[in-house]
Amino acid sequence: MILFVAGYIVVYLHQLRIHAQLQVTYARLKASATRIEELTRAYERQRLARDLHDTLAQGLAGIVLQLEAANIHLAHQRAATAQTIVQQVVQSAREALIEARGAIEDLRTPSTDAPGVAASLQKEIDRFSAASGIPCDAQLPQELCISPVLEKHLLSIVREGLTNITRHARARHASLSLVPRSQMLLLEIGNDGIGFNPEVQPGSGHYGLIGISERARLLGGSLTLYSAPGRGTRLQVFLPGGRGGWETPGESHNKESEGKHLHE
Amino acid sequence: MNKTIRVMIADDHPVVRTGLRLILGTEEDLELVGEAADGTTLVRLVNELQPDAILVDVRMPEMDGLQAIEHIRREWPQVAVLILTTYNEDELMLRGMQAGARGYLSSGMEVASVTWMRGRSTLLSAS
Repeated sequence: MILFVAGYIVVYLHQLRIHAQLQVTYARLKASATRIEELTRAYERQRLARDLHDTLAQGLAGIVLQLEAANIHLAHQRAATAQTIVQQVVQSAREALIEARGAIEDLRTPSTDAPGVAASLQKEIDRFSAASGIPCDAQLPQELCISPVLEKHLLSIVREGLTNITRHARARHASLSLVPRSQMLLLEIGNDGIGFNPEVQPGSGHYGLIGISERARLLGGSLTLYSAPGRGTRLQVFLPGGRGGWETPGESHNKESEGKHLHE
Repeated sequence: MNKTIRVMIADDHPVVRTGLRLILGTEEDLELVGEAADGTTLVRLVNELQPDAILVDVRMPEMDGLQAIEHIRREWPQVAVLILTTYNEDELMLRGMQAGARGYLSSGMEVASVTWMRGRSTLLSAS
Protein backbone atom coordinates (compact mmCIF):
# COMPACT_ATOMS: atom_id res chain seq x y z
CA MET A 1 0.00 0.00 0.00
CA ILE A 2 2.79 2.37 0.97
CA LEU A 3 4.59 1.53 -2.27
CA PHE A 4 1.42 2.21 -4.27
CA VAL A 5 0.91 5.61 -2.60
CA ALA A 6 4.56 6.52 -3.06
CA GLY A 7 4.40 5.48 -6.71
CA TYR A 8 1.23 7.51 -7.21
CA ILE A 9 2.87 10.57 -5.64
CA VAL A 10 5.93 10.19 -7.90
CA VAL A 11 3.74 9.93 -11.00
CA TYR A 12 1.60 12.87 -9.86
CA LEU A 13 4.67 15.03 -9.22
CA HIS A 14 6.05 14.07 -12.64
CA GLN A 15 2.79 15.09 -14.28
CA LEU A 16 2.85 18.39 -12.40
CA ARG A 17 6.38 19.02 -13.64
CA ILE A 18 5.38 18.23 -17.23
CA HIS A 19 2.34 20.48 -16.91
CA ALA A 20 4.52 23.33 -15.62
CA GLN A 21 6.96 22.82 -18.51
CA LEU A 22 4.08 22.87 -21.00
CA GLN A 23 2.81 26.12 -19.46
CA VAL A 24 6.24 27.70 -19.85
CA THR A 25 6.53 26.47 -23.46
CA TYR A 26 3.04 27.77 -24.25
CA ALA A 27 3.88 31.18 -22.73
CA ARG A 28 7.08 31.36 -24.80
CA LEU A 29 5.23 30.44 -27.99
CA LYS A 30 2.59 33.06 -27.27
CA ALA A 31 5.26 35.70 -26.59
CA SER A 32 7.01 34.77 -29.86
CA ALA A 33 3.76 35.03 -31.80
CA THR A 34 3.08 38.45 -30.27
CA ARG A 35 6.61 39.59 -31.10
CA ILE A 36 6.26 38.42 -34.73
CA GLU A 37 2.96 40.29 -34.98
CA GLU A 38 4.52 43.46 -33.54
CA LEU A 39 7.47 43.24 -35.93
CA THR A 40 5.15 42.65 -38.88
CA ARG A 41 3.11 45.72 -37.90
CA ALA A 42 6.27 47.82 -37.47
CA TYR A 43 7.50 46.65 -40.87
CA GLU A 44 4.16 47.50 -42.47
CA ARG A 45 4.31 51.02 -40.99
CA GLN A 46 7.83 51.49 -42.39
CA ARG A 47 6.74 50.19 -45.77
CA LEU A 48 3.75 52.56 -45.77
CA ALA A 49 6.08 55.48 -44.94
CA ARG A 50 8.44 54.47 -47.76
CA ASP A 51 5.61 54.09 -50.26
CA LEU A 52 4.11 57.45 -49.30
CA HIS A 53 7.51 59.09 -49.69
CA ASP A 54 8.28 57.43 -53.01
CA THR A 55 4.88 58.12 -54.57
CA LEU A 56 2.71 60.85 -53.05
CA ALA A 57 5.35 63.04 -51.38
CA GLN A 58 7.76 62.99 -54.32
CA GLY A 59 4.97 63.42 -56.88
CA LEU A 60 3.44 66.35 -55.00
CA ALA A 61 6.86 67.97 -54.46
CA GLY A 62 7.49 67.76 -58.21
CA ILE A 63 4.08 69.24 -58.99
CA VAL A 64 4.68 72.11 -56.53
CA LEU A 65 7.99 72.88 -58.26
CA GLN A 66 6.34 72.90 -61.67
CA LEU A 67 3.57 75.23 -60.47
CA GLU A 68 6.19 77.52 -58.90
CA ALA A 69 7.88 77.70 -62.29
CA ALA A 70 4.56 78.52 -63.99
CA ASN A 71 3.98 81.24 -61.39
CA ILE A 72 7.38 82.81 -62.08
CA HIS A 73 6.63 82.89 -65.82
CA LEU A 74 3.22 84.47 -65.18
CA ALA A 75 4.87 87.15 -63.01
CA HIS A 76 7.07 88.00 -66.00
CA GLN A 77 4.08 88.12 -68.42
CA ARG A 78 5.12 84.91 -70.16
CA ALA A 79 1.62 83.47 -70.31
CA ALA A 80 2.24 81.04 -73.17
CA THR A 81 5.17 79.39 -71.36
CA ALA A 82 3.15 79.24 -68.14
CA GLN A 83 0.28 77.57 -69.98
CA THR A 84 2.62 74.93 -71.44
CA ILE A 85 3.89 74.20 -67.96
CA VAL A 86 0.38 73.95 -66.54
CA GLN A 87 -0.46 71.37 -69.22
CA GLN A 88 2.63 69.47 -68.15
CA VAL A 89 1.54 69.71 -64.50
CA VAL A 90 -1.77 68.09 -65.40
CA GLN A 91 0.11 65.17 -66.92
CA SER A 92 2.42 64.95 -63.87
CA ALA A 93 -0.57 64.99 -61.53
CA ARG A 94 -2.10 62.11 -63.49
CA GLU A 95 1.15 60.14 -63.17
CA ALA A 96 1.27 60.85 -59.44
CA LEU A 97 -2.35 59.71 -59.13
CA ILE A 98 -1.57 56.44 -60.91
CA GLU A 99 1.35 55.88 -58.53
CA ALA A 100 -0.81 56.66 -55.52
CA ARG A 101 -3.44 54.20 -56.72
CA GLY A 102 -0.73 51.56 -57.06
CA ALA A 103 0.43 52.24 -53.50
CA ILE A 104 -3.13 51.95 -52.22
CA GLU A 105 -3.53 48.66 -54.10
CA ASP A 106 -0.34 47.45 -52.42
CA LEU A 107 -1.87 48.04 -49.02
CA ARG A 108 -4.99 46.10 -49.88
CA THR A 109 -5.35 42.89 -47.89
CA PRO A 110 -6.76 39.98 -49.86
CA SER A 111 -10.22 38.97 -48.64
CA THR A 112 -11.05 35.38 -47.73
CA ASP A 113 -13.17 35.01 -50.87
CA ALA A 114 -10.21 36.03 -53.03
CA PRO A 115 -9.91 34.09 -56.30
CA GLY A 116 -6.92 32.05 -55.13
CA VAL A 117 -3.18 32.50 -54.94
CA ALA A 118 -2.45 31.78 -58.60
CA ALA A 119 -5.09 34.25 -59.84
CA SER A 120 -3.90 36.96 -57.42
CA LEU A 121 -0.29 36.46 -58.47
CA GLN A 122 -1.23 36.49 -62.16
CA LYS A 123 -3.04 39.80 -61.56
CA GLU A 124 0.12 41.26 -60.00
CA ILE A 125 2.18 40.01 -62.95
CA ASP A 126 -0.28 41.48 -65.47
CA ARG A 127 -0.24 44.82 -63.64
CA PHE A 128 3.58 44.80 -63.62
CA SER A 129 3.84 44.03 -67.36
CA ALA A 130 1.20 46.64 -68.26
CA ALA A 131 2.94 49.36 -66.20
CA SER A 132 6.55 48.55 -67.11
CA GLY A 133 6.20 47.11 -70.61
CA ILE A 134 8.36 44.15 -69.50
CA PRO A 135 6.93 40.71 -70.42
CA CYS A 136 6.96 38.20 -67.57
CA ASP A 137 6.77 34.41 -67.86
CA ALA A 138 4.77 32.88 -65.04
CA GLN A 139 4.82 29.36 -63.67
CA LEU A 140 2.10 29.11 -61.05
CA PRO A 141 0.43 26.13 -59.36
CA GLN A 142 -3.19 25.66 -60.40
CA GLU A 143 -4.31 24.59 -56.95
CA LEU A 144 -2.58 25.79 -53.83
CA CYS A 145 -4.05 26.02 -50.35
CA ILE A 146 -2.29 28.51 -48.10
CA SER A 147 -3.50 30.70 -45.24
CA PRO A 148 -4.74 34.25 -45.94
CA VAL A 149 -1.82 35.57 -43.85
CA LEU A 150 0.75 33.72 -45.91
CA GLU A 151 -1.01 34.76 -49.12
CA LYS A 152 -0.89 38.41 -48.05
CA HIS A 153 2.85 38.21 -47.36
CA LEU A 154 3.49 36.26 -50.55
CA LEU A 155 1.71 38.91 -52.63
CA SER A 156 3.66 41.67 -50.89
CA ILE A 157 6.96 39.92 -51.63
CA VAL A 158 5.98 39.49 -55.29
CA ARG A 159 4.97 43.18 -55.55
CA GLU A 160 8.25 44.30 -53.98
CA GLY A 161 10.22 41.99 -56.28
CA LEU A 162 8.46 43.17 -59.44
CA THR A 163 8.63 46.83 -58.38
CA ASN A 164 12.38 46.41 -57.95
CA ILE A 165 12.61 45.18 -61.54
CA THR A 166 10.65 48.21 -62.77
CA ARG A 167 12.76 50.66 -60.79
CA HIS A 168 16.26 49.28 -60.98
CA ALA A 169 16.78 46.31 -63.31
CA ARG A 170 16.43 47.86 -66.81
CA ALA A 171 15.30 44.38 -67.85
CA ARG A 172 13.85 43.27 -71.17
CA HIS A 173 12.31 40.15 -69.72
CA ALA A 174 11.20 38.86 -66.32
CA SER A 175 10.06 35.54 -64.91
CA LEU A 176 8.19 34.37 -61.84
CA SER A 177 7.60 30.88 -60.53
CA LEU A 178 5.96 29.53 -57.43
CA VAL A 179 6.53 25.85 -56.68
CA PRO A 180 5.22 23.94 -53.64
CA ARG A 181 7.97 21.64 -52.37
CA SER A 182 7.19 19.23 -49.54
CA GLN A 183 6.34 21.49 -46.61
CA MET A 184 7.45 24.73 -48.16
CA LEU A 185 6.99 27.12 -51.06
CA LEU A 186 9.75 28.16 -53.42
CA LEU A 187 9.22 31.53 -55.07
CA GLU A 188 11.64 32.69 -57.74
CA ILE A 189 11.61 36.11 -59.42
CA GLY A 190 14.14 36.67 -62.18
CA ASN A 191 15.10 39.26 -64.77
CA ASP A 192 17.71 39.71 -67.50
CA GLY A 193 18.58 43.28 -66.48
CA ILE A 194 21.78 45.04 -65.46
CA GLY A 195 22.22 43.04 -62.25
CA PHE A 196 24.50 44.13 -59.42
CA ASN A 197 27.06 42.81 -56.98
CA PRO A 198 25.13 41.27 -54.04
CA GLU A 199 28.24 41.48 -51.86
CA VAL A 200 28.14 45.28 -51.96
CA GLN A 201 26.05 46.86 -49.22
CA PRO A 202 22.82 48.04 -50.90
CA GLY A 203 22.15 51.77 -50.96
CA SER A 204 19.05 53.43 -49.53
CA GLY A 205 17.27 52.90 -52.85
CA HIS A 206 17.21 49.15 -52.25
CA TYR A 207 14.54 49.14 -49.57
CA GLY A 208 12.66 46.54 -51.59
CA LEU A 209 15.26 43.78 -51.16
CA ILE A 210 15.63 44.53 -47.46
CA GLY A 211 11.85 44.42 -47.14
CA ILE A 212 11.62 41.04 -48.90
CA SER A 213 14.38 39.60 -46.75
CA GLU A 214 12.77 40.87 -43.53
CA ARG A 215 9.34 39.60 -44.51
CA ALA A 216 10.71 36.14 -45.42
CA ARG A 217 12.65 35.99 -42.15
CA LEU A 218 9.58 36.94 -40.09
CA LEU A 219 7.68 34.11 -41.73
CA GLY A 220 10.43 31.62 -40.87
CA GLY A 221 11.77 31.54 -44.43
CA SER A 222 14.74 32.98 -46.25
CA LEU A 223 15.83 35.04 -49.26
CA THR A 224 18.78 34.11 -51.46
CA LEU A 225 19.99 36.53 -54.08
CA TYR A 226 21.75 35.57 -57.31
CA SER A 227 23.09 38.49 -59.33
CA ALA A 228 26.17 39.92 -61.00
CA PRO A 229 26.73 43.13 -62.98
CA GLY A 230 25.36 42.65 -66.49
CA ARG A 231 23.94 39.20 -65.74
CA GLY A 232 20.47 39.89 -64.42
CA THR A 233 19.09 39.02 -61.01
CA ARG A 234 17.24 36.07 -59.49
CA LEU A 235 15.53 36.19 -56.10
CA GLN A 236 14.90 32.84 -54.46
CA VAL A 237 12.50 32.95 -51.52
CA PHE A 238 11.71 29.91 -49.38
CA LEU A 239 8.59 30.15 -47.28
CA PRO A 240 7.23 27.53 -44.88
CA GLY A 241 3.59 26.40 -44.91
CA GLY A 242 3.09 25.41 -48.52
CA ARG A 243 0.31 22.98 -47.74
CA GLY A 244 -2.47 23.51 -45.28
CA GLY A 245 -1.56 27.01 -44.14
CA TRP A 246 -0.89 28.44 -40.71
CA GLU A 247 -4.25 29.70 -39.66
CA THR A 248 -5.47 26.55 -37.89
CA PRO A 249 -4.45 26.85 -34.20
CA GLY A 250 -4.16 23.08 -33.78
CA GLU A 251 -1.47 23.01 -36.47
CA SER A 252 0.71 25.66 -34.88
CA HIS A 253 3.21 23.20 -33.40
CA ASN A 254 3.86 21.54 -36.76
CA LYS A 255 4.23 24.88 -38.49
CA GLU A 256 6.77 26.06 -35.90
CA SER A 257 8.79 22.94 -36.63
CA GLU A 258 8.69 23.63 -40.37
CA GLY A 259 9.91 27.19 -39.83
CA LYS A 260 12.79 26.01 -37.68
CA HIS A 261 13.74 23.38 -40.18
CA LEU A 262 14.10 26.04 -42.84
CA HIS A 263 16.53 28.02 -40.71
CA GLU A 264 18.78 25.06 -40.10
CA MET B 1 28.19 89.64 -68.36
CA ASN B 2 27.92 86.89 -65.74
CA LYS B 3 29.32 83.46 -66.44
CA THR B 4 26.61 80.86 -67.00
CA ILE B 5 26.67 78.19 -64.33
CA ARG B 6 26.35 74.66 -65.69
CA VAL B 7 24.11 72.57 -63.49
CA MET B 8 23.12 68.90 -63.33
CA ILE B 9 20.22 67.38 -61.42
CA ALA B 10 19.90 63.86 -60.00
CA ASP B 11 16.61 62.53 -58.68
CA ASP B 12 14.94 59.14 -59.21
CA HIS B 13 11.45 60.64 -59.51
CA PRO B 14 10.63 61.91 -63.05
CA VAL B 15 8.03 64.45 -61.84
CA VAL B 16 10.58 66.00 -59.47
CA ARG B 17 13.15 66.14 -62.28
CA THR B 18 10.62 67.92 -64.51
CA GLY B 19 9.88 70.41 -61.72
CA LEU B 20 13.56 71.13 -61.15
CA ARG B 21 14.19 71.47 -64.89
CA LEU B 22 11.40 74.06 -65.13
CA ILE B 23 12.51 75.98 -62.04
CA LEU B 24 16.14 76.09 -63.18
CA GLY B 25 14.86 77.21 -66.59
CA THR B 26 13.56 80.43 -65.00
CA GLU B 27 17.13 81.38 -63.94
CA GLU B 28 19.04 83.22 -66.68
CA ASP B 29 22.44 82.49 -65.15
CA LEU B 30 21.92 78.72 -64.94
CA GLU B 31 22.19 76.16 -67.71
CA LEU B 32 20.91 72.63 -67.13
CA VAL B 33 23.45 70.33 -68.78
CA GLY B 34 22.33 66.88 -67.62
CA GLU B 35 19.90 64.75 -65.63
CA ALA B 36 20.36 61.45 -63.82
CA ALA B 37 17.93 59.07 -62.14
CA ASP B 38 20.51 57.19 -60.06
CA GLY B 39 23.91 57.69 -58.45
CA THR B 40 25.87 55.62 -60.97
CA THR B 41 24.55 57.65 -63.93
CA LEU B 42 25.21 60.88 -62.03
CA VAL B 43 28.88 60.00 -61.46
CA ARG B 44 29.29 59.01 -65.12
CA LEU B 45 27.67 62.25 -66.36
CA VAL B 46 29.69 64.43 -63.97
CA ASN B 47 32.83 62.84 -65.41
CA GLU B 48 31.63 63.46 -68.99
CA LEU B 49 30.05 66.90 -68.61
CA GLN B 50 32.10 68.46 -65.78
CA PRO B 51 29.28 70.72 -64.47
CA ASP B 52 29.89 73.60 -62.07
CA ALA B 53 27.19 72.43 -59.67
CA ILE B 54 24.91 69.47 -59.06
CA LEU B 55 21.62 69.08 -57.22
CA VAL B 56 21.46 65.57 -55.74
CA ASP B 57 18.59 63.64 -54.18
CA VAL B 58 20.04 61.65 -51.28
CA ARG B 59 17.67 58.72 -51.83
CA MET B 60 18.36 57.10 -55.17
CA PRO B 61 18.70 53.57 -56.53
CA GLU B 62 21.98 51.78 -57.30
CA MET B 63 24.64 54.11 -55.86
CA ASP B 64 22.62 56.37 -53.54
CA GLY B 65 23.01 60.16 -53.30
CA LEU B 66 25.37 60.11 -50.31
CA GLN B 67 27.73 57.61 -51.93
CA ALA B 68 27.63 59.64 -55.16
CA ILE B 69 28.42 62.88 -53.28
CA GLU B 70 31.41 61.29 -51.54
CA HIS B 71 32.71 59.95 -54.86
CA ILE B 72 32.22 63.25 -56.70
CA ARG B 73 33.80 65.32 -53.91
CA ARG B 74 36.80 62.99 -53.97
CA GLU B 75 37.24 62.93 -57.77
CA TRP B 76 36.04 66.39 -58.75
CA PRO B 77 36.27 68.67 -55.68
CA GLN B 78 35.62 71.77 -57.80
CA VAL B 79 31.99 70.69 -58.41
CA ALA B 80 29.59 72.38 -55.98
CA VAL B 81 27.14 69.89 -54.50
CA LEU B 82 23.70 70.77 -53.15
CA ILE B 83 21.52 68.15 -51.49
CA LEU B 84 17.96 67.83 -52.62
CA THR B 85 15.36 66.50 -50.18
CA THR B 86 11.60 66.12 -50.44
CA TYR B 87 11.18 67.72 -47.05
CA ASN B 88 13.54 68.68 -44.22
CA GLU B 89 15.16 65.35 -43.40
CA ASP B 90 17.67 66.51 -40.79
CA GLU B 91 19.69 63.32 -40.49
CA LEU B 92 20.09 62.84 -44.24
CA MET B 93 20.92 66.52 -44.77
CA LEU B 94 23.54 66.36 -42.02
CA ARG B 95 25.11 63.26 -43.54
CA GLY B 96 25.09 64.93 -46.95
CA MET B 97 26.81 68.03 -45.56
CA GLN B 98 29.37 65.78 -43.84
CA ALA B 99 29.92 64.05 -47.20
CA GLY B 100 30.91 67.43 -48.66
CA ALA B 101 27.70 69.15 -49.84
CA ARG B 102 27.72 72.95 -49.73
CA GLY B 103 24.04 73.40 -49.04
CA TYR B 104 20.60 72.00 -49.62
CA LEU B 105 17.28 72.63 -51.34
CA SER B 106 13.97 71.07 -50.44
CA SER B 107 11.76 70.25 -53.40
CA GLY B 108 8.62 70.72 -51.30
CA MET B 109 9.67 74.20 -50.18
CA GLU B 110 8.35 77.56 -51.39
CA VAL B 111 10.69 78.99 -54.00
CA ALA B 112 10.35 82.39 -52.28
CA SER B 113 11.43 81.01 -48.88
CA VAL B 114 14.66 82.10 -47.21
CA THR B 115 16.06 78.57 -47.23
CA TRP B 116 15.37 78.12 -50.93
CA MET B 117 16.91 81.53 -51.70
CA ARG B 118 19.99 80.58 -49.67
CA GLY B 119 20.33 77.33 -51.64
CA ARG B 120 19.81 79.27 -54.87
CA SER B 121 22.59 81.70 -53.88
CA THR B 122 24.91 78.77 -53.24
CA LEU B 123 24.05 77.40 -56.66
CA LEU B 124 24.61 80.76 -58.36
CA SER B 125 27.96 81.26 -56.59
CA ALA B 126 29.31 77.99 -57.99
CA SER B 127 31.94 78.37 -60.66
